[in-house]
Amino acid sequence: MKKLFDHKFFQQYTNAEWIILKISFCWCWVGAIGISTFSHESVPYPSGICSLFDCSFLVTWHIYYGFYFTTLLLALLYILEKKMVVVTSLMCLMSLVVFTLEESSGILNRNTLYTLIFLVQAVAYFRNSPSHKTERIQFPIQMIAAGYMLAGISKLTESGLGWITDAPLASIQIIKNYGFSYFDTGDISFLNEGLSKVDVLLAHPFFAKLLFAFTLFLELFAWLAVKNKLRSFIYGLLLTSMHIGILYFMNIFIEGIFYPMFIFMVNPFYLLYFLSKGLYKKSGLQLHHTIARKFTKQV
Amino acid sequence: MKAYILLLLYIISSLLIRKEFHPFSLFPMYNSFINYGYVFFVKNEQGDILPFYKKFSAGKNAGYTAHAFGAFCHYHGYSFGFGKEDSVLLKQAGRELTDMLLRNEDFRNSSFDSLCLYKRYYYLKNGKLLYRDDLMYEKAIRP
Repeated sequence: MKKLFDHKFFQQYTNAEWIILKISFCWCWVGAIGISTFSHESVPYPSGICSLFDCSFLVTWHIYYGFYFTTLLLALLYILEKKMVVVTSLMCLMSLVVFTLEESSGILNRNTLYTLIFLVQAVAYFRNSPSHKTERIQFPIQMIAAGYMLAGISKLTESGLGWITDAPLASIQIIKNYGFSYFDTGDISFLNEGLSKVDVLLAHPFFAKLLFAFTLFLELFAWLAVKNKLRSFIYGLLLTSMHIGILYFMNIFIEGIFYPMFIFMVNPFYLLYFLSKGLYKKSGLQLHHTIARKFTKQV
Repeated sequence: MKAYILLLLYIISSLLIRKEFHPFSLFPMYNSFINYGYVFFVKNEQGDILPFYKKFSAGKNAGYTAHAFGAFCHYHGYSFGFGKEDSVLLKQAGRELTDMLLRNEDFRNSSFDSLCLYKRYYYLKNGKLLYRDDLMYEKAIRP
């Protein structure tokens, strides 16, 4: 096992990894900006910078199309690694404006991490230290971990340990979210599925409390993911399993949190690339030999 | 410690600001489980449900309406929850939400004459899941 963890996949960030990460992340960012810009037509509840000055003049289709065109251009420059201090700063500014407008419309899609990630990447490029190739990934992981930790702290300050002991009350959130799907589509099967999940939760309160305790633990200890690549990968898999569980049981999927975490911590497309190419070509053979030798010894 | 400096800076800043001010956030999603949940939906005057995805533009859905209701109450300083909103608050919020839903929509060729916005209040009592529907606002879409 130690040999596996000592493998170069867990030790360093390669250029191929960075390129695949950038493309995946840009894909999600462009999608999030698109959904945010075209999903509202007014900003009746000013928040963030929109509470400091009147942002309503920005809510026109001409400006929104301008935002989207600029977003595509910035994404292209980002992928091509051009003028990164300026480009990441502008991407941060674009995220700040678009997502603040979205939040001011009353919609909360939790896209905070996009803004923060571009901000800290701008810092990493501006510092231009010898380790900036690691920092441009490690700094965003710090922000992602901070987001999860704040979510955990928020649960503790708002509910204390009641967040675990009151787990059966989560059945209301479950039926609420399945109710959203029912009234969105008119398909009654969503409501029935929600009711069956509620029955499971109410019938097994201890199991529910255990799952909620595990979730709270994962959030509060997200700082463990920061120190090195191996830890962030393992923690990323744990958080992914948590999100899958939440999606299955509660029909809740927070894209703005999950996608950045999944891309920066697990980087699934690079993992596939690595497994299909790297593992089977060079290092993979050594790894197979090591595992095979160990297996032979044990036998 | 150096590896955690940005993490700590952001957590401390967000805790000091203590409110949602993008990009500072306490990430308060589902931070408490309370004994109520609201779902909003639209029916026509005959009582048929009008699914958001089928009858309204992209982006206008049940989740959007629920967020907008919360934002409305927070913005105006109204306390809400546990099904305790009075008819005046429900009507005021209902009017605003209905106007938001109908903005840039064209129902002139639809088969119904009016829209009714409802709030469904889910709660647990004696280990059983119950609900109550409240009519918030009714709006004629044809004269």
